[in-house]
Amino acid sequence: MNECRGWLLDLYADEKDGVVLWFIGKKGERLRLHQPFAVIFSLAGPPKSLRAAWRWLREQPENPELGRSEGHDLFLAEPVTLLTVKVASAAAQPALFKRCAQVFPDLVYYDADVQLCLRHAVAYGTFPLADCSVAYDDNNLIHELHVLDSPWKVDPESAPLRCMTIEPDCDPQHNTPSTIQVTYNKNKWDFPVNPVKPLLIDIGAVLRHYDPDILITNWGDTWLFPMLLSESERSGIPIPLNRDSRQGILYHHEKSYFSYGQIVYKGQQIHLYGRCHIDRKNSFLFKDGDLEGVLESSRVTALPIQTSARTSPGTGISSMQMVTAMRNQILVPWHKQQVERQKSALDLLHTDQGGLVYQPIIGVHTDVAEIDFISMYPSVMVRCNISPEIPPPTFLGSNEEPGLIPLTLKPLLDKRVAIKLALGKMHSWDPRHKRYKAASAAYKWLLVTCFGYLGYKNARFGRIESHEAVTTWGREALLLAKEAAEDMGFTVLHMYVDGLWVKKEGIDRPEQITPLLDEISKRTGLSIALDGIYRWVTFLSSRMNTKVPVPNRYFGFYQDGSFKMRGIDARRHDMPAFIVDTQMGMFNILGRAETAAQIQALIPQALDLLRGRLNDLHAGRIPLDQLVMGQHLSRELAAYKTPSPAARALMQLQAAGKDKHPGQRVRFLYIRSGEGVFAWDLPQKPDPLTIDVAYYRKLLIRAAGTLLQPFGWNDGRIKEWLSGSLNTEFASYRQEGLTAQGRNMHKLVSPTHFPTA
Amino acid sequence: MGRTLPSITTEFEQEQASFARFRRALRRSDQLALDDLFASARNHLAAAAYAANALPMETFLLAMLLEEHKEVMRLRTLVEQVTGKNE
Amino acid sequence: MNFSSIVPSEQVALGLTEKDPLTLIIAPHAGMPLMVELAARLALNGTVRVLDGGNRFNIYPVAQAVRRITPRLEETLAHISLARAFTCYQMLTLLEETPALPTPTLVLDLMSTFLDENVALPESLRLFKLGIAQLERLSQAAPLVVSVKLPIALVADRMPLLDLLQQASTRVIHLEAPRTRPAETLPLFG
Repeated sequence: MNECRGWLLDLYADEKDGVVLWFIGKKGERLRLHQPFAVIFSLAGPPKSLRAAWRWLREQPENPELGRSEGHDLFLAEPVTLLTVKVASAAAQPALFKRCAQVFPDLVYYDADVQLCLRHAVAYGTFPLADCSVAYDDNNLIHELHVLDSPWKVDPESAPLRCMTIEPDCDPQHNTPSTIQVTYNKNKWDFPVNPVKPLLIDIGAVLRHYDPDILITNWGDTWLFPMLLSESERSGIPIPLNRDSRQGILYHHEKSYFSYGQIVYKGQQIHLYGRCHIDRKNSFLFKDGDLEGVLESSRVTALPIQTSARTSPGTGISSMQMVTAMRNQILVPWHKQQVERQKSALDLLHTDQGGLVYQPIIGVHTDVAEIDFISMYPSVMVRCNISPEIPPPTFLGSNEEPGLIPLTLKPLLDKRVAIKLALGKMHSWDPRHKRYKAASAAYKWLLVTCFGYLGYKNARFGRIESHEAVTTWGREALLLAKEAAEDMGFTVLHMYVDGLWVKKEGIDRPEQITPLLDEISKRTGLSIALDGIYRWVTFLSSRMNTKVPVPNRYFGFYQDGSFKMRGIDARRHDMPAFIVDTQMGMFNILGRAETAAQIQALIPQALDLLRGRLNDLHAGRIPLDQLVMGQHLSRELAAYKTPSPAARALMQLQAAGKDKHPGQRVRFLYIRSGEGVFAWDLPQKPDPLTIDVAYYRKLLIRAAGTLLQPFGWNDGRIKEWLSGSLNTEFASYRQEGLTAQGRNMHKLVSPTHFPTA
Repeated sequence: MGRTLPSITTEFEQEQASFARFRRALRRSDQLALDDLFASARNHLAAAAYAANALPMETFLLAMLLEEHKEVMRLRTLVEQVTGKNE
Repeated sequence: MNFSSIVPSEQVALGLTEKDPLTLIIAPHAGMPLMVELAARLALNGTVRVLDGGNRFNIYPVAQAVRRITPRLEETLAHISLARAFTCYQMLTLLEETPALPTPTLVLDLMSTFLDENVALPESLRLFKLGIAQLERLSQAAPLVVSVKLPIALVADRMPLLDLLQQASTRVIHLEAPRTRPAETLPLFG
């Protein structure tokens, strides 16, 4: 008997071997082991239908073992009578289930479409990169498997993963790549794309020699691997992308589907066996947390690494719920069965609301602290024990046994809080810092999603009443926090779902806020933390009416010099870099101010920057790629009555033989002639002289105006200044009372007209 | 995700729009004053939502009155400062 | 949404106490203004059940309709019992779980969830037929009014569902698209 101690890398079904597990041994070996793994699912329904199903199942080639049992459906008070179906080959179960569901669509199916990894997690406690000890024989058949690890460990021992990067030298949608760059540790190779046979041989050689565990690519799903695979087939030169040479490649086809009236596009996916392929351009998590984020998400959800990289947090949360359910002998339904109970229309009036969103007090403020509840909705779900099988809570707490949802969430929530607290005390050069940040980001997404998932119509364990209960008690918690703040002498400037901006004269040290945080924690039972103390923060008004406040639209600088900006152009992903960078530059100039008065003094500098950038624009010194707008198309082209600029750009692409799927981003420039736009991914390059300079000027001034409007500068005034007709001497300028009330700064005033007290 | 009740902002804008004919028939300066009233009520939309009144216009009117009263109090203080009297 | 219905709501309300167990209303916006009036009037007399299949139940116009008739607003609104379905599976389960009581029931925008492009037509049709059987069961005990959107809102392949529903109904009321009034160009606020 052989022994191995190592980390689990990959897990999948195999027709012959049952379940295949790949381990990274602590001695550096890579092992392909296997074990038998039977999969059980159940059927429920009228006895006559079950008998018919029994007879049908008996005849099936998968030769399932049938039985009778009882199970617990979360939404039913009484146990359910079940026909259990045990399939010896894990690989064969999905097909059997699919056929059975087609023949017997009226039956209720449980535990039928749960992914293999999750079932294995329930049976053995495994999860990607779990530290395990395995005993196996000379046929690589596993005799014993023990998991010595937990997903909730804050500092697990890291597996020594071999990561290789493969990327084309440019975006294949925009240009044809000429080189493929492969990186491994400190080695870099550049292989020409053509001729293709040497490319295949070279990449194959590198793969065989270094035997990576993880392949990170750009456009691997959509261009690189499909290209390599089709060339490999054509030329007969094999390319060992898989470690498991017996398996083919797993293709997930691209699709566009409808979700809440929007078209969502999912790119094609290429999954490997024995090796994990992550396409940076096709990964939700990768953008936020790099590889670490993907790995951390896999740890806690038990989803395979390649799946974690590509799916939304909704799938992650759903997986966690399924594992928790099965571990607690709760059946996992195939379709969501449960519906809302009848309630009075008046109840709906009270419960069908979102978070409390206040209108802020417009203007520039100092002595302001921002405090936020930590993961408010998940914390409410755990504290109030909100779960579909438990009656909605009647106070901010619970006396009942924890339900499925709190059981699922609590360890994740606790781990995130622990990591956040540790990060607060950690230096950025600490080797754990990067991983902690990635984990915190990954968990944040999972936690943020679990609330939405509770109300999601297709969620198996969702319940709209539970979803509404969460917001109800979230609102209560926010109001309790407001009362605590006011009782302790603070003015509440703004509140937004789970955060408050409070002001008190003389606030400039975190210790001064601690008593307030403690009091709020005491009254609500939830954790709340200080986000930061601002040197100054300004809440913006509506563009159209300066007396109308807009929630969640503000910017300001913290005492440590960092800034926060919400709801204005610099954060919009559509905008060209030219606009975003200029706005940020101006913003950073204002950020040097320590007081509201100093902001005014810095405005001329910010305006100088603006003028300089506009001059660059007019002189043609701005590179075209900085002027590219990127917009998503919200619907099919045919649905547009008057095509938007993005739609017009898409039509150009289609005419050139390139296409985008609904839900993908279309990039374009604004030009003066013809259709007004020039699609960025066209083969020909646009003529820089055709750029619609006037329009970009307008966009930039608008962006500047958004920034400067709280300080008395609207677009019109900025234009006047730029044309030189406005006096920049602010000699008699008064700074007091910088709130919107009584201020008519949206009208053009020259300093001499400014009222003196 | 299951939101059936319109948001308080949507409801506010509908109520405001339902006074469009009234507004049109007013003199221009009166129109601006009416706009101010509605704008001031916007400061209390969160509270109006929390109030969960089946006829939200009643809450909006109260919010307008609240803002008017704040203005009265502010002006009263200002007048007292200027005239040095306590009326 | 102010358009004058061709069939005054009083007539339809009267119809409910007579011999029409299952009334189908085919109208723009799934006949919401009419259903709102109905809900308000029925609530005056006692409990009314509303099954919402299109996420359309907006209590505010109902409250206004009630207030036009009586000052006892909250009391009347409390008579309205509401449940929502967001998928066709939920809609079917909702119908199955609703007991056949002598309480008038309104089903709003019944077909909406069955038009979901993510559910294949055969499956949608299968569930819909089961749903119709439930409607027939409920209409034995008390009148039922079901509303759906106009046929032009339907993709061609889903038309059979509307046909089935029409056949099962004892009375069908078609309401036209509202005649467009000349748009009043009123200046924007502020």
